[in-house]
Amino acid sequence: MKISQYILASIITALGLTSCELDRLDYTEISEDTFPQNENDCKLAVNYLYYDFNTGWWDGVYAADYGGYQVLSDMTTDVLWTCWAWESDEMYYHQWFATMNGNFQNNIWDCFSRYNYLSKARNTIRRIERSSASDEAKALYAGEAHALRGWMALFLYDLFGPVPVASDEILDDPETFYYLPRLTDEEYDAMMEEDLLTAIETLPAVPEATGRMSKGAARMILLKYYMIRGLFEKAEKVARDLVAMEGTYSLQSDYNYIFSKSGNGNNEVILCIPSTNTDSGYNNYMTAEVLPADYPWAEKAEGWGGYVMPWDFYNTFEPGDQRAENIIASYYNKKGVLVDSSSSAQLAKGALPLKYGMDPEQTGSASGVDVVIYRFSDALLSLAECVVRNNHSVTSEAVSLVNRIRNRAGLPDLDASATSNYDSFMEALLKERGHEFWLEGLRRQDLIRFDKYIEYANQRIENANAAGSSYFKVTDCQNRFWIPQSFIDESKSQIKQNPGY
Amino acid sequence: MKKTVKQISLIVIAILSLGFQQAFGQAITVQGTVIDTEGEPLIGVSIKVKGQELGVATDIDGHFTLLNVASGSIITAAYVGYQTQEKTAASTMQFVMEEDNKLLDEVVVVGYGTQKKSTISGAVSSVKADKLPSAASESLGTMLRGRAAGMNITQNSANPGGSLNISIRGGLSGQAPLVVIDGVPQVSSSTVSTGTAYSGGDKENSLINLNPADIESIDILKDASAASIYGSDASGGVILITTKRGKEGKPVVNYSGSVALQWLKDKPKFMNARDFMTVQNQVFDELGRGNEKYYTQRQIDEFVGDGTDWLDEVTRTGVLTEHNLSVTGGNAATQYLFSLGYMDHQAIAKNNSMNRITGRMNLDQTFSQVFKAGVSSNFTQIKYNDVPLGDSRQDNSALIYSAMTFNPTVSVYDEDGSFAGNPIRDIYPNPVSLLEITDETTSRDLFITGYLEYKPWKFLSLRVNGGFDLKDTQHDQYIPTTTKKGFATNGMASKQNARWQMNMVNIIANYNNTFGGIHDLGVMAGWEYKKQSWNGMGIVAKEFPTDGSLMNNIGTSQEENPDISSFKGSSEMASFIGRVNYSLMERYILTFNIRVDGSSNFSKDHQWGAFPGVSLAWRMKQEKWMNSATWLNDLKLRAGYGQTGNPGSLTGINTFYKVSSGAFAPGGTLQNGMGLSQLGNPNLKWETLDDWNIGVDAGFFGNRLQANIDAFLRKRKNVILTKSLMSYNEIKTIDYNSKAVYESKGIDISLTSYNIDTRDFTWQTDFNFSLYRNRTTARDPEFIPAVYQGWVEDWDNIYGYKTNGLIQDGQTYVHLPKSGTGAINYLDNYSWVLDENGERMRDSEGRYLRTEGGDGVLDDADIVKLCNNTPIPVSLNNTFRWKNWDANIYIYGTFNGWKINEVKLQSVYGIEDITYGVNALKEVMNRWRPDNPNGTLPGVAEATSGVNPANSDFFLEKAWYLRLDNVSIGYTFPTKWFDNKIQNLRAYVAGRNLAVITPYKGMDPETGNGIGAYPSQWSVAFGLNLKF
Repeated sequence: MKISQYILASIITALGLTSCELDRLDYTEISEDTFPQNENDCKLAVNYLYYDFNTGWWDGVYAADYGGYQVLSDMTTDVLWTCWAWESDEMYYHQWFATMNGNFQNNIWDCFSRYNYLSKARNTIRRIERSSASDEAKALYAGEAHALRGWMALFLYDLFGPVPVASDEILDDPETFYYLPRLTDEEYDAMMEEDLLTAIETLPAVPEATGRMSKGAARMILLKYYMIRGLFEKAEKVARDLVAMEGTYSLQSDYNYIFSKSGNGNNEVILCIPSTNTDSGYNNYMTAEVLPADYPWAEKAEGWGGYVMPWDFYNTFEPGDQRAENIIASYYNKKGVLVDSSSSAQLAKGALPLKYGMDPEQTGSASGVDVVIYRFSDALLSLAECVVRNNHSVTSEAVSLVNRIRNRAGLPDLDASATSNYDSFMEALLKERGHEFWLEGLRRQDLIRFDKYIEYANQRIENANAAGSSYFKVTDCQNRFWIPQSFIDESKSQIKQNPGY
Repeated sequence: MKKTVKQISLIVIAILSLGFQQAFGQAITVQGTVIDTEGEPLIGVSIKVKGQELGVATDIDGHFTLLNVASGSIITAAYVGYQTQEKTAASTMQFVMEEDNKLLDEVVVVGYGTQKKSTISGAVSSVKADKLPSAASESLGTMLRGRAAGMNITQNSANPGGSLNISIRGGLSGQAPLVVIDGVPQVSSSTVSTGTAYSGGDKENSLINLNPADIESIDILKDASAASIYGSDASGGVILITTKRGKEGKPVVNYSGSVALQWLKDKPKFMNARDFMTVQNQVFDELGRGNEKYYTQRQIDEFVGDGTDWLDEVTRTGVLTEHNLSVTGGNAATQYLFSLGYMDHQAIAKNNSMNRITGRMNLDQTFSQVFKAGVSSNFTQIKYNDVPLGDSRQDNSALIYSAMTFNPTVSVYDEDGSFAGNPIRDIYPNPVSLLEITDETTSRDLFITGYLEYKPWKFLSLRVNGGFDLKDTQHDQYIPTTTKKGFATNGMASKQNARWQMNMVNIIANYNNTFGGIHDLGVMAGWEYKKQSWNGMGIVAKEFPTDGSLMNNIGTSQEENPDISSFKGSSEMASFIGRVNYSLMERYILTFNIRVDGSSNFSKDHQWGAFPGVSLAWRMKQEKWMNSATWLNDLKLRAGYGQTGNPGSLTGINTFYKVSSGAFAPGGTLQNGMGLSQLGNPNLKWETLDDWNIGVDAGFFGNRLQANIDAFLRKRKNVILTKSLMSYNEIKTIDYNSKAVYESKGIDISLTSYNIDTRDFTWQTDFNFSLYRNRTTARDPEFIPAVYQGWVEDWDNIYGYKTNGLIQDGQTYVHLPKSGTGAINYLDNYSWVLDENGERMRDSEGRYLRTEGGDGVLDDADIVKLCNNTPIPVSLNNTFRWKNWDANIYIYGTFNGWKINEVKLQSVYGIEDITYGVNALKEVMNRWRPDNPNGTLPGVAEATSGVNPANSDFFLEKAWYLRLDNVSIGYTFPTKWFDNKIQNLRAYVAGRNLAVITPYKGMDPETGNGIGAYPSQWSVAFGLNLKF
């Protein structure tokens, strides 16, 4: 009988137990009550914001495939092409339109979908400000987040023009559907200035490690934005501030050193995506995209043999231009056999733009040479451009700035003819920029700014059509990409399509 | 000897009964015989006068004599295995006994108790494990395919231990069924992922841990009136597994074993070397790149042989061996079962194997009149040696895909003995090199349950059950430098482990009593607590100085930042359980279940939910007015309603951050980040599944034909879905209880027929068939259907573009700007309806409007429903016995199915890849070319069309199938041959998966999923069953 009493007692105990709350544990989830609190938390939160700018295969802004910003920017111009047909021809010959199918459509969708980054960065800034870190740490990390937000906002404006941006009140109410229109240019200007001027004010000139945001990087982003917007007076001021940072930055004497493994961290680079040679999402794949499989390179390197610089562009380099030294027109392969445009499908389309030097430790396709985003030479050339645009005449300051870049590449000063008037100077400057920044993703905006983007594309189309293709001619509307229909639908048509699509 | 004892006892009984009978007046002497339906006399039949304790048994000639029987008494004849008969006493009587070979009064496990099959009122299917052919099978799961109407099991991949999809009644709940073994739910676990370059394919993690020879029965609670006793875990249905237990009697030793040989069954035809070189040259021409040709005509002409058949190089004849040994026995107080099982499968891919060891001990001990206790314990260890599997292409190609497509012109090894590469583009892994990868998984499962029962009165018992299921998996992988991936990384090692545990305790009180002879009442009440927990860790490292120590000395890695991870978590559930069974005259039956569950997966305000189930049954045949229908032996009508729930594995109540490892590499050193990962919704509630069931169980012609038919309607509500928030938000999704309603309607039919039933020859046929349709019947108000989609929508619809063959010369295709002649002719049949501003117009449900007639653009407007892929599972089992011979033929399959022929689809990309030296399907030789306009596969132009052919009907094929799963013949040796030292010896030979009848032209219609699917196998097995 005693045992039955135990059983009864245990039933009663059991019933009592259930009045306790049932708990679920998962140690991989970090509660919002505990994060972010201290300085290190703020750093982790900001590190996370860098993630979107990785070079990983499919999801990074700086991926080396067709969806990455630099490739998208260069492959729709005269400097980059591939021997893989597929979508590269759609890009190279501008054969795009809003209702198209395929990967190019998906890539543009992915690019536009990044507009929520502005919300993410904004929320991160507010979390940092609410944290109990020191004021100093808050200012530093919030400053980084402001700069990162400006960087992504620049990327979006560059491709699409202004995008919708949610206010803090809307962000605090995520479950309600607000149908937001795109900002006006002026609203976008105000947002960019708020983020980037804050960043310029609070960030150090030299960051804790390469790849982190700095005063100079924030200035460069703002400069790029002003140039796209055509606000050249504001741009000149920022460019002067940047050029005044010489010392922190300097022009390397050897152009190719900038892009070499030993040059990682050199002070011509204002902003880069730091890379490792282990598969991590932070790798330089640009080499693998170019490198033919039989090219003598690091022992364990793997090449996909695709990207080329079209011969038409390659042939514009002046003899002795050191910047063309790593653009390969022919080579002896691993078996010692000469490979040239007659024996290689890749070289038939163009030269090999092996911008980045060999990483001897490269294993597979991942190289550890930092991916360069912005350089001091761009600050110098941009200042030259702004000065000339604002004065509408060629100044000696501008000429000497350009000559600095030319001399560094082993070239003589500009011809007198090139400095004789505004138009010829600008023409020479655009050419100089093309030779200086190939494969760095600046070409598209440069051509748009000089009103050549569509003109050059139509030239390529004409040439191809003369050889039997049937590409359609394109118009100015292509200076921006289309806004994917699903975002227009989602906004109940509050988002308006870019004109011409 | 036995006979004499029996005869003596008969005489004694007869004398004794004489004494009793004398108490009555008018008495007669009854003499009679008992025979069976074949006219053979039956010995030992118990003959009684109804209402009296004592009786007599028939003698060797089937005769009996009862003295002093009161006239008008009822005489009963009862015999094990036959139906009991009653007749009014007469001086000469004859009983013709009918065999009771019918399953009507088995005991069925229903969760927290058992019920007689005759009094079941819900929809429950039972499968007896010893009826399932076990040779050449790894898992109980694959053995159960097609065995119960309403439980559809398909195997997703034919690799050893390949994962299963088990869906009960259409899988409307989206939940896997709950598997309860001897009263304790199995902990759910998953395949431990490697986190490295290759993986060995998803595994089945549940039923595979059981030794099929240990299983007594499998009962499947299909409808919610029955399953609601498992409440919130049961919306996927419940599979109750009962293991064998000891019986009172002398020890019985059982051995069963088999050896099976396996051969590749589906092997797609790829080009041989010469065809490949010829086609490659053609393709270069067709692409306008004739100058890039790699082979000269002379090289092609002079090529000797067919080149390397890579699939042959990486496959072999498989061998599957199993040995099971068990001992059962016991006395009145103690009953025991010990069993050991061993299964080893050397699979058809080289270096691919699976090995399982199981040990079980089941023990029942009666301590006293009122106390009883028992233990069931099982230990299983499974070891896998895996090969890389999957659909990755190019440099990530895994074994099978790589073997299908690797360049056939090269041999396995170079002159220097290293693995040969593709000479044209050396990025593809040599298939044979992939066999050098070490990939070992060891999973262990310790499953122990025990009970203590206290039964103070006959009508009341209290039972405490407790148990745990502990699963532990260790996964090790090493990719050596002889492979491409290993070369690039200087060797890559991975060690991952994970543990899952389920602890459970419950206390169940059972009350059973009969009142007034006609009211049967059973009441069960209980409380239960369950806790599931999981934890694990892993490391992946590269850069090893040598391959020699594999992953076993991971500290030698020279990598700066190896990947490390760990995790841990737990969840709890507490429940109150109750059931009332009431039956009136064993004719009118009511069952009421209720379970109240609390789950920690929900926020404090929504933790508790109640799940009722009620069912009624009417055993119509027991009614007097049905007596005249002698052809009908049994008829029972059933109706039930119940509710089950689903707390989901969804954990959407919390807002939380997660570590993003290696989010950023400042200065070239990877650093972690931490970002918002999920937006919590504290208002999340249970999903509920309402289920209505009506059914009929009937037996005809002496129960020679038995039918169970159930019709069901199920509705799933408050479905936990993830919805999109506006795309400008930081986190763009949130979990919520949707207003969508999912509905399933269907019928399950199972028939059993004893076609021939004589002493020497029997032929039994079992037929299972299910027909159902799942559909979404309601939506969230903000839902906007796609143009081709209904507001009410059938599940398993396949949508896509219609096609009309290939584009031929002269045809226009403006809607396919990137195509050319020879590409697939996707049809531009519709255009959008535009308003005056050129904006697309919508209908009242928000759907864009379209109208017939093309608009020169191939887009969503042109997508239509192509077919519906809901399976119609069917199975047919035939068992024969002729004297000592037995035979079985088992067929299962589905009457409906559609599938994209992925091997062909892949050849569309393959055409372009051919120029890189990648092989393709032989059918590529019959692609469209200007000189072959009637080719069956698209020409080179399709590769750049920008349209995915998988989104069209071009490669869509009918994929219904009937699989000849088992054909076996066995012979049971007469025991006298062995001087009765052996109770039973049976030898058999079985053929498994001998044929598949299907219109599908790809790989196996069931397991051939993906472009690198593991090929299915057919087997021949020899086996032995031995009983001492």
